[in-house]
Amino acid sequence: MKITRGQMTALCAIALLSPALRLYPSFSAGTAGRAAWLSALLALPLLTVYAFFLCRLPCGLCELAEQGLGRRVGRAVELLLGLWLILEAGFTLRTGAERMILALFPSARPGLFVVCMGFLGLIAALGSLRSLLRLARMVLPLVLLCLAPVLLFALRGIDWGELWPLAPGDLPGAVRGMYPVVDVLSFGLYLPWLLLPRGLPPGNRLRDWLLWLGGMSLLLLDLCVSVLGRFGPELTARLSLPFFTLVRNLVFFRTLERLEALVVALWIFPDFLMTSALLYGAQRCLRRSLGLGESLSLPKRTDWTGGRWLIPVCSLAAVGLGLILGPDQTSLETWSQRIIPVCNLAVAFGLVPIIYIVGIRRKKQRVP
Amino acid sequence: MKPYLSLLLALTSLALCGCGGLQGEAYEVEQLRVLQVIGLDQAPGGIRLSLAAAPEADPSGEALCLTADGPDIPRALSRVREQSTEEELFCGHLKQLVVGESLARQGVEPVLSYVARSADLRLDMPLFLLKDGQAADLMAADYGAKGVTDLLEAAQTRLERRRGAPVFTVRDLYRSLIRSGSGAVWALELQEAAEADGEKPLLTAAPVGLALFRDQRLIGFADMDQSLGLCLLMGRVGIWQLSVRDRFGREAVLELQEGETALEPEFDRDGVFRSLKVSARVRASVAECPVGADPRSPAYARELTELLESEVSRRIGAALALMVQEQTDPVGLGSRLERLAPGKITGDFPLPEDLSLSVSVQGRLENSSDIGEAGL
Repeated sequence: MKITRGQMTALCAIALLSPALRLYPSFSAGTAGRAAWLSALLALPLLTVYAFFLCRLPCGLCELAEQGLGRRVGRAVELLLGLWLILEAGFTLRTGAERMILALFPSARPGLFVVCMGFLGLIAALGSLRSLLRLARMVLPLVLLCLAPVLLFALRGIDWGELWPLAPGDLPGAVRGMYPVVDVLSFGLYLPWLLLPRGLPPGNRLRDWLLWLGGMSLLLLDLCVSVLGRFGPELTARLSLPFFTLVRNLVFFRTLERLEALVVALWIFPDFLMTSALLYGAQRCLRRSLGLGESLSLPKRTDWTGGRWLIPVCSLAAVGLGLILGPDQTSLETWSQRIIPVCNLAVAFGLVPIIYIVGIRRKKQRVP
Repeated sequence: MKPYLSLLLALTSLALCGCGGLQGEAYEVEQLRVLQVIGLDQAPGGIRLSLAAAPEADPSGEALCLTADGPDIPRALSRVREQSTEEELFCGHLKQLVVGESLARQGVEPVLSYVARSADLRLDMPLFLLKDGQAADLMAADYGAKGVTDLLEAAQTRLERRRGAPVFTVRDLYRSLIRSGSGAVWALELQEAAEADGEKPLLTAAPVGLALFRDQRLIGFADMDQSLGLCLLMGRVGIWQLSVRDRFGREAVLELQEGETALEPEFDRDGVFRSLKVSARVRASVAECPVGADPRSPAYARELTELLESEVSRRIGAALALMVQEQTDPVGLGSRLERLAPGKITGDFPLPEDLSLSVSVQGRLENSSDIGEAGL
């Protein structure tokens, strides 16, 4: 199963478009005000250091946990990672449904969207990871091609007075506004180490990651500038999905308008790829944790041997979580602003470094 | 297996986009009645919502206008939908929002937040306020062959004839109200049309100045002179005609093309904000010159320039006085001053009543569009 770094970075780029708009830029605008656009740039040094650290990992996180922490603790860590990915998958399903409801179908209920996307994710997770990666590689240019004119047109109508001038007093707010940027991008950075036994495929990994980080930061910066420049920080902070509100207000050449349905529909790809990757990662962690083995060969979708029955179980669990998480707007905001980001940052900057440091101390890391 | 899976995937995707009608939101274009204007008023126990379509959208040529009351906007909207039995009302292309004066005096926050949350309405929709009346009256009035949509579009076009001219949208007002608690939109008034003939006078809606808001509520109106001053302070002037009288009492019409203002706050020794200097730069052309006057003569041009400066200065002064009197900041003066003197002034303040104000204007007259004496 040949997987390239380009395919993996494409998957991380497109899958992260789904959570990227959940908190950003409305949260950053609420904390940083006019300086919210700086947050994407300020987060770069920290994320660069994190990318550098991840590139030093000799193998995937599950393998590293088993080798570094011992079989018993390692399997417990794998179980923890598997459960975390199921929770994230359920939350992705729920927020994807919420996006459809807020932007297109205000009278709909989330259940249908959650079940449909969960089913699509299950079909993909039952197949090979390579198919998913190839799809990401194919879809990324399409999504970027559609996004580019939207973001360019959005830049045309902005009021630069909403972004400039900045004072030194704006810096603390901008630093606090890094929270969603670091949350989203750090997840993208460590995701390959959960999906593959060796993490990001070997080669010039650091260069690829830095290019990826630069591209994603530019995308987030453009998005933030477009939204802030049009709505101002105060109104942006009040909008649930400011980017889609922006798209709804765009008029192309004074004739073409109301393209938000197309753009929201485009976000089905990030939702689908994110959910599928998470389900794939979750079943992989759980299979290793339960000692059910891991088959790297191309399986049949109806093959339930080697613990593959865990895939529909993970999918069902994610759909179940998607149906019960955030039953109302306040609860969904709590999950979105606190629980999920805190869990993710704890894994990214707590669990992953601990696995590495303890593993180094025990000098047990081996490349499988 | 593969065809089976493909079929399942296709069916599932159809459910996601709603094309199959699983969401109950798919309609043929012929079934849709495209609405263009939404009006909101205060009603006993809630909101009165009116929706209007363009006359050309109806085969009979009559402008459709539906009105219903409800305890809140969504329920009023669903009652309006119930009135339309034959066609599905499509609100995705609503172009203007009109709010009645009584509702604006009660508070516009629910209206603005509804637009911001709505999947149909747009924040960039121009917002007008109907002075001394109900939006429902404006929308149901007889405009002859035209509908309220044509009328409002004409008013909007007049206001935005030039890029940079202010047509205040829902977004402008909401952003301004969140930021400083103050804001402004254009106020319209129902008037008899000049070209009215026959027994029944035709009506029109004309801009009569800016409606001023403070703490989410309408607090008063600026007349057209004060509105020009406010637009100049905002830096969004567009084309504006000024009538001046020369030293012989003859009337000349100047067309204001551009204008910008610079602020200079001054503080006393204790750091208290004491005075504000406003310097304006305006550019205008001569739209109409009195008989016997030559706008190309340097002396007459200088006289007109001085008159222009004096008129603009008077309007800016009137606007500032109104802001102090009403304790409102619809032009974002506070934010501008905060940027000029960070730490000394906070952006959400009203102008102090004892503030000393001085206005200086530098005018430039150019590109006379009048042929003048020599052309006769």
